[in-house]
Amino acid sequence: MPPPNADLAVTWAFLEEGVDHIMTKLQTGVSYSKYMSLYTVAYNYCTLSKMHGTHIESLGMTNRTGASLMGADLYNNLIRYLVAHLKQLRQSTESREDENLLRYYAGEWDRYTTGANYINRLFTYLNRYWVQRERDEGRKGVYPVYTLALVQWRAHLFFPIQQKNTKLASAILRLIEMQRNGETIDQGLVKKVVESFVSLGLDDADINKACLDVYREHFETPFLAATEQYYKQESETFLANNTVSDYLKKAEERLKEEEDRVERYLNTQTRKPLINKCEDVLIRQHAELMWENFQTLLDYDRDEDLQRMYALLSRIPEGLEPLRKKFEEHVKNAGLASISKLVGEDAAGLDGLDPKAYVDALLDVHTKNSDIVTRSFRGEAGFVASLDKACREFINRNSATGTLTSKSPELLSKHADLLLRKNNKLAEEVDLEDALNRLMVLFKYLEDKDVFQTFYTTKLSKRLIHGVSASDESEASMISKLKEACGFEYTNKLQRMFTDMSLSKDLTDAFKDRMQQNHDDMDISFNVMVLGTNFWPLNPPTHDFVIPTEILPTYERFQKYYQTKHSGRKLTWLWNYSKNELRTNYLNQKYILMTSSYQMAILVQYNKNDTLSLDELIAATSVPKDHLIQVLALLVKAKVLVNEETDQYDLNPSFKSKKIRVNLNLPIKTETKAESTEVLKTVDEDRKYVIQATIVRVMKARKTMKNQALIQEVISQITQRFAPKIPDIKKAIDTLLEKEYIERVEGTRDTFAYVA
Amino acid sequence: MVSADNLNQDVLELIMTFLPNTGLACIALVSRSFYAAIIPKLYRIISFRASHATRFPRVKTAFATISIHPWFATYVRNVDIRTVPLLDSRPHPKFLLEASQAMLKCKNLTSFKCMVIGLPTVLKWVNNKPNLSELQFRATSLTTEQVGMLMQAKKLCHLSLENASCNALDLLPRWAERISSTLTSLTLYMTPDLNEIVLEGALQHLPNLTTLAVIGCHKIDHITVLRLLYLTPLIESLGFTVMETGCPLGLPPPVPHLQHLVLDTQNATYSSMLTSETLMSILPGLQLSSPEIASFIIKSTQRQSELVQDLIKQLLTRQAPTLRRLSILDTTIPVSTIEAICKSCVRLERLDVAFPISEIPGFTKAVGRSKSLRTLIDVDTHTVHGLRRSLNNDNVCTIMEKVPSLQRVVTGQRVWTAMRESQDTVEVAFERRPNQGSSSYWFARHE
Amino acid sequence: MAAPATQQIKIRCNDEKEFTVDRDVLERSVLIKNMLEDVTEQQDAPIPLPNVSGPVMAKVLEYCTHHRGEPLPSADTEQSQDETRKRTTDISEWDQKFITVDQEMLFEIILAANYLDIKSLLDVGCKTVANMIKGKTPEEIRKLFNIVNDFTPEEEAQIKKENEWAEDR
Repeated sequence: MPPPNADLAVTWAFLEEGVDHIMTKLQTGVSYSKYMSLYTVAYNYCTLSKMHGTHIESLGMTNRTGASLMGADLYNNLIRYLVAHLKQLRQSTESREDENLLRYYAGEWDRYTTGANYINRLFTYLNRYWVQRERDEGRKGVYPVYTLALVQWRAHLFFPIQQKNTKLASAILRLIEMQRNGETIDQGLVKKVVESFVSLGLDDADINKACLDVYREHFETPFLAATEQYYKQESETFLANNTVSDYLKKAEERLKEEEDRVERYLNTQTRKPLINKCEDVLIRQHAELMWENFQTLLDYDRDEDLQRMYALLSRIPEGLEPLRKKFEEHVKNAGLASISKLVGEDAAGLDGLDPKAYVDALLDVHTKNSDIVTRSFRGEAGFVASLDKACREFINRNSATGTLTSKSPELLSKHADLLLRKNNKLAEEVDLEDALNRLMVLFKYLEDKDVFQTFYTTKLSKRLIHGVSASDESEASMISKLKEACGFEYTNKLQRMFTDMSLSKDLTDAFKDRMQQNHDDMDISFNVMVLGTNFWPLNPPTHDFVIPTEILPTYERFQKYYQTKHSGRKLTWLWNYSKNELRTNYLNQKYILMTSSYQMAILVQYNKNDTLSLDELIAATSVPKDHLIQVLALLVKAKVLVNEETDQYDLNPSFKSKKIRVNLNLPIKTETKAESTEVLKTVDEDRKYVIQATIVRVMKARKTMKNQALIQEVISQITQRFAPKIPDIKKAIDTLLEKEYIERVEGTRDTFAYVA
Repeated sequence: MVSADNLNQDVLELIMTFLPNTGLACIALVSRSFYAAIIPKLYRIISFRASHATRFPRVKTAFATISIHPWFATYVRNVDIRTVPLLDSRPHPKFLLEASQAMLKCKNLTSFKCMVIGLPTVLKWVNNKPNLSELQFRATSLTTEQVGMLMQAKKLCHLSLENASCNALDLLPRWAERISSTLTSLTLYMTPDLNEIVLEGALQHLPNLTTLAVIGCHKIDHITVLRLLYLTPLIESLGFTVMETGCPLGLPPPVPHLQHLVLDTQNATYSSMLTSETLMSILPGLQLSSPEIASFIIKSTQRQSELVQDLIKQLLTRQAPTLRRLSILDTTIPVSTIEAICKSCVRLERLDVAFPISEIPGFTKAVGRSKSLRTLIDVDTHTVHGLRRSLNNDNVCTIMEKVPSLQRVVTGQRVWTAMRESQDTVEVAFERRPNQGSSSYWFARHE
Repeated sequence: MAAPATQQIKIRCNDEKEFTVDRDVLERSVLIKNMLEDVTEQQDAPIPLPNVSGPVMAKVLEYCTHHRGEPLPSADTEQSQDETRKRTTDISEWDQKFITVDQEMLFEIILAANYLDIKSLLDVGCKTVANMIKGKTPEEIRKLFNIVNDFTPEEEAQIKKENEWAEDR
């Protein structure tokens, strides 16, 4: 060990021997003594500085630059050593290629970095003081010893090798290509060399920060280019010789393989650009082919392929849009086809279309494709939207509905009615709640929900009046489902109807109690339903009616009673909906005849006469002739009356029936037919008002609006209930202009203002 | 034999780093090795103060020395210019020449402060300083080109502008955008042209800002500042001027990281008197985000003394457990309030308050309530003119005895430091500090 | 925490004095810590410390033993060490007592801490010297440390003039 005040030459000779030993023969080991002496020699040289001159000019330069010179001496000698060492290594690489080169490089890299770490610690004193100071004062090119070693490696080994046709990087790329071709390669070797690229990057501002500059320039960029080339080639060749389904598999495999590759020996920063590139080459370049193939997969229910295609195309932007559109078309066509088939089969034609069959057909298409969305498209929102759009199309417009968007709501409401009636065959087969839920699925797609609402209200009123609801729970359940779907306002009337029913029951009971207290000669049992006029879609009788004497007392008593309870309210008796039960006393067998009020009125006439002429009946009941004839026809058909001579009706003394309770109260055919058109007429009327009310509301809020904007706003507000047609809106605007709710703004042609 | 004479230079230099920043000039005269070791520290911080200006050019400036020994420039990190020598009421050309020559060489400059008005050429000196991170100056006649040049400093962390010109303000948002990744502290002081739009435009680029002070800018009241905090959720240090506007405070955005709060009521316009409602609404408004305020400064006027007392009471109920530093400037508070402060703020380490000279015993007792106080500083309230009676040695010793944790008492230029040899007795070391003033603003945060 | 902590290491100073010390005490010296990591082969010979004498080493070991187990300072970043060092608070009581030694030993300890890379001990020593220098005139400092004034009178005058700006007035 040289003495502390030895000069540079002696000092460095000693140090260089040690450094060389560590860089080249580290495996033979270093003793404590050697370690300490190297450290100490370096330490001594740095700390025992000599004074230079006493000149007044060099004042201040003396000791400081003295130390500075010492540090620089060692540092520069170190550089010289490293450069020479690296030159030797470089010469060895001249003759090597490919894997041979990589092995040599990786081996030397290991040895070099281990050694560099070692000498970094031996020269730690230099790092702590001199290097720190120089860097602090902004001097460039001075690094801690380990970083210095890397800098030298980069400059004197790495760059020179790369300058020869990027020998190093190309060797790696060749290996990777081999692996892609299915050969096994030494992944550890590749990883080591790639990591060395990362280590060689240097961020001058912060040397401790990882810097990928070298890695990116010398490896990542050529790697990505090679990858692109490789996969472009492969995908094109493959598709030329194989099916799209097989290609999907292959693409999936390759993508997974590249992910693995990153894990195993690439830097994590490469993952994103690599996968993006692969997606571009493997998927986007061939997207059109996939889009074309999509329909086939749908047609043949190829679930696995659909899932795969979805997974692949979802990786590229806009990859799924064509699929969504195709899917929408597919669903729409499926729906339309299904209904066409149904209509074609049904010999009875459109009018006799079975609601259940209709609903089932629609639901089948919906369910099947909804499953596809969940299973193969991961329930993706865009596909759900496509499904919805398609369903909305074929549910509202198909061969059963023709051009009437009101047909579907009508059929659905018929189906609902059938489900909710007592003794319906359907309720036995399926769970009622389940069936209602499925119905609601279709309900949500209806455009003219107000048509459904009106039909439903009418049918509900009939069910309630005639007491044929299957169960109160199911009715309530259906109403709450409708409320959930459309809001409170939608089901308001329906709710009221139920309330009226329950109020009526209470009223009837109270009345009966009262009668018992005051009179005891009520030999007629009587149930009344008092219904709020605004909530029930029931029309009052169109003609007069003579109340038969048998029921007159009860009638008068109830009128009086009701007036005491609610004075000021007007009761309109709906004879056209009322029904009675008559006990036959003129036959051997006691029958109970269930009749309508009109029928009852007719029959009680026969309490006094056996036969009556039509005119007599007209006079007695005040029912107009046409209606009366229809009513009589029913009674004749039931054989309660006999009509041998024209306009003369006799009571049939030999009336027989299997049942004790005979229902004569059958609906008149024309009535049912009229119902449809009635409802539609009501709906049209309502719609006019809704449009007008909406326009007024909008104008009141905005004060002025242009024509176009107003129409848009109105449409957006109304769409929930039905799809308004623009001509209707325009007509409504005109009406409101006439009625002076709004006016045109002067000087403009298309701006309106609200009139307060 | 090892002695201070032949210690190696690295260690000697290391020893020097432990010296305070003052009193270094005589170290340079000890010996050659001491000289070499102290130079880096000596030239690290260069300030030019009134005492330098009066002795110019008889006493060489640091700049002149740097011109003689150019390598000294590599050590310069902080430059603080508080005044310039004048010749015929203009800045002395010799000084400017010296300074600009020297500054050109100071490539490692990190902090530059210049509080002199009318010295725009000074800004050239900060051109091309890649490590510049702190800038504080009076921007009265700053031109657009000059701002453009200043925008070159990419690593700016602390920016402080006083009396900024309209040109500077116009460019402020763009400037903020340039330095948005590094700037953590922004101070705008006494800038009447600053308006809400500019401030908001700047703050929206500074989501990482931790220090914001907008004081004495009469178009920006406390309501505006608090409202704009939605742009700077990480704020730790906040200062603003409270003004009477008649508007309610509303709900300020959350400031969970707030630790240092400065209220200025002195620089508000005098058009309307500050009301109690306004002043007392601030702390509750901030309370919703439950900040743990450790440092609180209020600068007020003697007239508002009662308001301040109420505010202090309010502060104590909310923040007493976390307060470590409290400064009450330019207004006196009664001894009872001082006592309340010392009693309830169990972590209080520093208290800046006007010493009630006529009630020393009461004051001593009040301060004695604190178990944690380390530094006690007398604040000059400018209310007493003529000869001020002040503390003497005995007073200080008594206070020191009463407060075992107390280490320093400062009044004006007199500093007493405690030397506690044993548990009971305490001696004080007295020194008279030169009046150097400070280049930091009164509202700056001290560690 | 079995073997490494209780491992005993032998060291030999430049005056042949030897010590046997627990490994974790010795590892307060970053130099020794690094060396023990790097030199993996077992060695019988003691670790030679050419720049430290026995008495000084004894004092150093006293310090290391008292502070054993404390976390070592983190690796230096690029930032100037001045900032971090200035902020350190005063010397602890034990350290104060420990460092109360004659001047020669004080400087020997400082040099040893510098050589062995024991940052906290180095700081304690330097702070102590700094406190001795603080507030004294040049002549007082020279007297205290027995330093020879190696300036010429002209040089002294020049230095005074050049740095007069830094004096407190």
